[in-house]
Amino acid sequence: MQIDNNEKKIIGVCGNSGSGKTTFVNGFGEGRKVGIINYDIIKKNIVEEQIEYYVKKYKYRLKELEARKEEIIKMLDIDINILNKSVYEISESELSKVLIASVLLCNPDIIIFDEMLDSFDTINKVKILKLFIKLKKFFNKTIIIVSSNIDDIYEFIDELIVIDDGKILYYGDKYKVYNNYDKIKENNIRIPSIVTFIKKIKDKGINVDEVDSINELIKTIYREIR
Amino acid sequence: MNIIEAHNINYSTSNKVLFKDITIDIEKGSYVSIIGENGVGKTTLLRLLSGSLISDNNIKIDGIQVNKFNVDEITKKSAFITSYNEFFSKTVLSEILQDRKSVSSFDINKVKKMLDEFNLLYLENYSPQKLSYAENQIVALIKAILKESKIIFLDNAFSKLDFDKRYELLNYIKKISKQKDITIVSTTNDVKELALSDRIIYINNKKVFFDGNYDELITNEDINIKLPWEIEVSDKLIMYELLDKRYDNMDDIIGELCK
Repeated sequence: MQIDNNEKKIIGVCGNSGSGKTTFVNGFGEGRKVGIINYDIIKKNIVEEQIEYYVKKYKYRLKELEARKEEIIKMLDIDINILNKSVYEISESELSKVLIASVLLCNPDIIIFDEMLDSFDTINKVKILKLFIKLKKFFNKTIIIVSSNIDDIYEFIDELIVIDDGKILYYGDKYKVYNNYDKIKENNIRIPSIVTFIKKIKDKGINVDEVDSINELIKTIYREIR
Repeated sequence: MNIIEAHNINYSTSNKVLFKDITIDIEKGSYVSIIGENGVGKTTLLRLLSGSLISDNNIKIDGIQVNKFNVDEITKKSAFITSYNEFFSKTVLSEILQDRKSVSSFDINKVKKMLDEFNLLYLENYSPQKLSYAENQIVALIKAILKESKIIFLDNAFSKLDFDKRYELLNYIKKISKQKDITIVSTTNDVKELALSDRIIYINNKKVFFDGNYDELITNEDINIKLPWEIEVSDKLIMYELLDKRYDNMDDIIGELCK
């Protein structure tokens, strides 16, 4: 598989557990260009040391390290009172934000967010996903989000990779991937509720647009039915 | 009968007041979910209710007042499962049977049967430190059930499982809870888990803000939680006068729209 990294985008990765998502993520390897965010990157006991771990490991000479660190901590809304605490005594959602910070500080081109969304409540999940959009638009990053709940991410992604049985089943524009609806369903891979809904309502003869959010869905139904 | 009685709980960390005068009684055999935004202290509350976090509060578990001298006695009665559980044994089999004084072939067969139920029999001789997150969480559950825990505490416990597998597992836990009168206390960010719970406690601003069942929760307009997809769509369609009431099933919504 090749990801065209000239055009920045958010890519979702879905597939059942044991399908090879972890192998897929590990295939990118750890390095300066790619930052993987999951629990395996916990290397330090103290929060602040964890945040600085990778930037020090790769010996980045950042003149403005302190300023950048401050900016990232602010952007992620990390409580500064936790900086000298142990990573094991802060909450799961705080820990996830700390891990994001330790990767962002290295400024990689590609950021992989590996099954971390479920540590956030709904409101904070959306905040994190909106942050990814900001990173794409204003900081030119490609973001890869691995998630077992496609409903959570569908609205926020541009492209989708469907993995099954150690292979990439489909990769492409998210709408186009679900042209293979029946095949994906056959493989027992979860399909976004909105995609299923649109397929079912089209089967009934109502010609709604392909959309990715509830608000857009209601608008297109309203136009068709009224 | 209440298996947990926590009266007038106050708790602060070094820089934050988490709970002010919270009272929670939990009935034996019930499935209770604790929800609230990130940072309100769901995990801390669960640890207080389980007796694994000692404070000078008035908390009784299975009739015994929690204090620092009886932690072992109290925590023996229950299991605490998190999104990643630390295991120290050499094999999965010995980890699951860890709390036994003596192990019979009958016990070993029970473990094998249960691993098999989850299609995980191949794990029996694996090192429990090398499991995937999903496997780690299921092994912790099997261990909790076979140790005959009276209470199982779930701290965002099955977040690493696939969507469908998670509900399969939660349904299984609910069934076991009713069969064996095991009490389940769970913290979760997942609204679909709440539909399985007998009771939901919503923590907000240091207090119990809501305490009731699922139907009461999703019709309460003061609570800001994400509703199931079908309910959210129903609500918006009602706003546009395209639907007359909420439906929790997609086919029903489409059926009504196509009338």
